[in-house]
Amino acid sequence: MTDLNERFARMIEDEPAAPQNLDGIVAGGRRALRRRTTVTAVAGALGTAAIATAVAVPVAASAHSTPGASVALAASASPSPTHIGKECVKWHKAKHRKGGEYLVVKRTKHGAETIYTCRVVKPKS
Amino acid sequence: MTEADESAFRAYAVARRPALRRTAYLMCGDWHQADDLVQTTLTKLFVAWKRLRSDEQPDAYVRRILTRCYLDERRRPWRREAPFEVLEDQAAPEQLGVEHLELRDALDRLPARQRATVVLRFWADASVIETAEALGCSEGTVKSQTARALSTLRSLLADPVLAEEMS
Repeated sequence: MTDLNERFARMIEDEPAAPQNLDGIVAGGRRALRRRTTVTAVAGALGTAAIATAVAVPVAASAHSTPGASVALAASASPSPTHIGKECVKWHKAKHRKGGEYLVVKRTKHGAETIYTCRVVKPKS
Repeated sequence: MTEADESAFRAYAVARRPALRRTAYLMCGDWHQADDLVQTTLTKLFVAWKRLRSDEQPDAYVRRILTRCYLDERRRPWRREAPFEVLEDQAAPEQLGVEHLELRDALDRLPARQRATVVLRFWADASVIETAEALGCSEGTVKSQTARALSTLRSLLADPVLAEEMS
């Protein structure tokens, strides 16, 4: 297949003069480097700001609240069905109280009501 | 980039630019486009120069960048420049060798990846592994692309002697 190499060599016999100046390439490379540095810096700043908003600010705010209080980071889970012991309670009335507690009223078919104070827990899978 | 790095880059670019230009021409078939490809390649090399000097051979990287620039350019034809008219100072087709024209026409009809494969293998003397690395494909693909390209060239070249020599 050296023959193909020779034919390629013949194809470039009419090669015109090549541009010798490298300054344009170096200047273009410097611009590309600056652009990349800027993009990296902006991406880093945006990432830092996102982390500060999602984590650092809620944590800092919780330092001034009561000890033991829960802190919501960026998002919190929605209330799920309540379990009390092994029995699943059908809520008739539920009133949210402070501290993550709910006041739940269970009504029997005879009309008797039992009032529970419960907390929202994860449902059993 | 430090001054030492820049002077090393300049020395490398001056030494390798003619060979790169010829390879680019054989891939694209146009000297002006070849100059553009080489300029883009060397600009990307400049950006990566500091990293390359420590852990990779610049030649392999440059071959890869040049090949991918060419394939990228071929993939997006609307970005190519289109001449308004034929320049008069170019050699007329009959003034160039018949073989030359036939081979160039045959190369023009090859798909971009097959043409790049043939040029890298038989002009740049790249191995199958090096060609696969430059094209971003497997070695088996390089072998099949080479076989298809040579088969197409043989069938396209009108001169049976030429076709015989290439087999």
